[in-house]
Amino acid sequence: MIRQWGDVNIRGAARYIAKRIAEFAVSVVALSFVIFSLLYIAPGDPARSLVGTRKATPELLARIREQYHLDDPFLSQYGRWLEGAFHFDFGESIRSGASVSDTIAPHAVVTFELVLISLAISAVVGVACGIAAAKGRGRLRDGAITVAALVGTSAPSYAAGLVFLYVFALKLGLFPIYGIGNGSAADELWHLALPAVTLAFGVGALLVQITRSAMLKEAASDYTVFMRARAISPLRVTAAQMKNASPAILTSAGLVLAGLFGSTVLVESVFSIPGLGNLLASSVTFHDVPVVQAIALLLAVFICAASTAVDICVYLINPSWVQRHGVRWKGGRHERIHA
Amino acid sequence: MINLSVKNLKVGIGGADILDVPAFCIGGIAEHAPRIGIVGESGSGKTMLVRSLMGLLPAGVSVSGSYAIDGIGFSLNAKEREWRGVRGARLGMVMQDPFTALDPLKKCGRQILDGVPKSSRASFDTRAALAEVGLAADIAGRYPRELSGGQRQRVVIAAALATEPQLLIADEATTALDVITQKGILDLLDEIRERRSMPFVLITHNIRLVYQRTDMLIVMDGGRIVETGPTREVIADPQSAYTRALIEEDRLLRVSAYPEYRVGGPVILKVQNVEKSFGAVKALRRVDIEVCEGEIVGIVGESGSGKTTLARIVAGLESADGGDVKFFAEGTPKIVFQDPYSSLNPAHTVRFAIEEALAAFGRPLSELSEIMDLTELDDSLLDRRPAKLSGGQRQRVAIARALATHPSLIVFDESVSALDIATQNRILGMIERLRGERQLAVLFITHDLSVVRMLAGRIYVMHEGRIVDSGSAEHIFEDSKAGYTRALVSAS
Repeated sequence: MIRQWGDVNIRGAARYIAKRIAEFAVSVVALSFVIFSLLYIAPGDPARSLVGTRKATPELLARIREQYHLDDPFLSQYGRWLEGAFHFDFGESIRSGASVSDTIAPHAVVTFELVLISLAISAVVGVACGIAAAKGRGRLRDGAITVAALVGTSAPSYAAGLVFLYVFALKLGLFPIYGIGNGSAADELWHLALPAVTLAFGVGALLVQITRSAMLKEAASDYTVFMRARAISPLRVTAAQMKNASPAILTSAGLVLAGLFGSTVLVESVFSIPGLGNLLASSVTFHDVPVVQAIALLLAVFICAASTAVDICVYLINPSWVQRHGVRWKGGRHERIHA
Repeated sequence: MINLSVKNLKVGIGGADILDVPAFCIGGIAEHAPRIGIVGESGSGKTMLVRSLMGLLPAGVSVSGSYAIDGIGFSLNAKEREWRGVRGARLGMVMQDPFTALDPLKKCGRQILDGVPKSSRASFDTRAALAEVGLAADIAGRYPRELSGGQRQRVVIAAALATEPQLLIADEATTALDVITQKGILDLLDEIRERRSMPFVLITHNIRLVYQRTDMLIVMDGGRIVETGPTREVIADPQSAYTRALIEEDRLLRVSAYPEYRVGGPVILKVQNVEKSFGAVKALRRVDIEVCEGEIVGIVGESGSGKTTLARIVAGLESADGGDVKFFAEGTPKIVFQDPYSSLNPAHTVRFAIEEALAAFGRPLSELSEIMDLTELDDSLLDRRPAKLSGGQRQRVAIARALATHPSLIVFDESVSALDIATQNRILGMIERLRGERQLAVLFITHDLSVVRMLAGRIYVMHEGRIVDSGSAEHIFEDSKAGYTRALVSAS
């Protein structure tokens, strides 16, 4: 007797989830290796890179070599760094001398808040508009949504940010112009609203297009025609279509999340928000290598975790979809199992 | 009894009429639930005709005409909400492909229940609904992917019946099934008709199906009704040339002699112990076949028997999990698919499609006209795109593309299944001629016994991923001892 939880065979699900988490761990370790190597791939002496913008006296270089164990073999340096990373210990910031974790933490909180708010906005609005457009295919509503989505995907986030800033903050005075406010949660939310909408505009537009085309594909499917032929209520037809379209939409939402971290750098600088993006930009300018490495690793872990979570959700919705499109993916061919 | 009539029905795509029916009616033509057959090749407009009566035409298709249901006028361009009064409670439909007609993410019982009208939902008995179509009660808790093609089609029929329709339209409902399953489904439709006094419309490209199973016959060709009347009279005394040709071609299919069983040529394809699984589904189990030079070999089996997987492995589109596929001739085997509508690039002309294939294999472009002759394509078609070709012409172009590479072996995977008998026979004749002229070996894969009977000297029978029988055509049809083969032959 196979144990079932809803449509899902528990043993199969456990095996899939374990496999996916193992893949997550492997990707994170691989990425950490690449991130750590950046210091050595960059031209010149790593010690000089770690000097940052300070004056490179021979004493300072020697001190850095000792502090960072730069004379040890590469792999043991990497091992030491990775072990530290597990305890959130990335050493000290070159710029400020403070611990890297303490430097990053407040920025990380702001950025994660910003990204989560804009993900929520873009997911709700994007998916809803995508469905509305697909349902009203060829009508005015479809045209309006499609054009808006086209503007959203083609407008760079900093340009959209400047327009929003000008219209809603400067002209209409509805939102603050910069910063994250005085520290109260409500004030911070109010400050993050416009940047979050800016971020959501671009990625939400992408979700509109993906949802629209996924729903149109379902609308043309045989099972949709057969449901309509049985006079089943449009609400129920849409629900079935959404469930069938959800793997495609969820998978792209995972990609969208990764994209959000990319655009956040620009949007944070437009709105002067002290997030990871701003910190990353200034740390790069100051050659603050430990901070850059820590931020890069943090983002990599987060993006990998998001894509793992998406894959697991897709599996739980429809195990056979994953078997066909995920595990048995071969050269983009979709094959019916019984064909 | 329901009475449908439509006048001056026109269905068009982008300004061109693909269907033009001055008058058509169903019902009121026999005192007892009539069985109506609509015959025509794919593209003849038979599906468009019934879909327009249910408001289920695809997007971008225009329709005009005056439509009346039981004498009351109804707009063919009605809104989705208004159609819901016609669909289900009036007209039910069974679709062609049982693999795609059901929602893959919903259990079968739920899907049947979905269509039950609100008023009778409380008293609806899913178990009885499944029993009516000959399925066990536990099917209700299964997903479509767990069922065979025949079982799925029964679930589809149960779902269509759950809406309590007054007329059931079966659109190529058995085309995707093997002969044994096909017979079961057709018998079931007949039983249901008697039990419910519900007329049905059987739409098919296969004229043989309507001989025994319909009272009224409508023959369609090129978007027009070419003949209509009581089936017996139409068959005994066809008035249109098209119907006469259909009947004659079908007769030839049954009386012609078996193709010669040729031995001798060197073996060019040897498949040994090939295994293939998709997840938990074993598609092929230790399959052995051989094809010799200049030989036509048939592989017969129902959908799901693994024959398509075998075809794809031979053509190199799929890799086997175990076993050997050895090809002893030059080049690679080519494959011609079932659906000429989707296997050709709609943006390319015939000339481009064939020249592209010639160029890809380093053949001179001057071979174009020779290939057009070989595949009996008229030069006037060269600058047309697939949308402007008939189903048979498209399939010839697909074959021409395969021939352009001078292959030693072509795999035909259900390549004539979607065509009407006349077109089918002409293409089979062409394949036989190519075999003789080019020493072409052919692996012909089909669920249709009558096709291999005409063409293949040697036949393999597949069932559940295994080769269960093999031999000359005469052996398979006349004196095979294998139980499955005998069931297949007697059902056809």
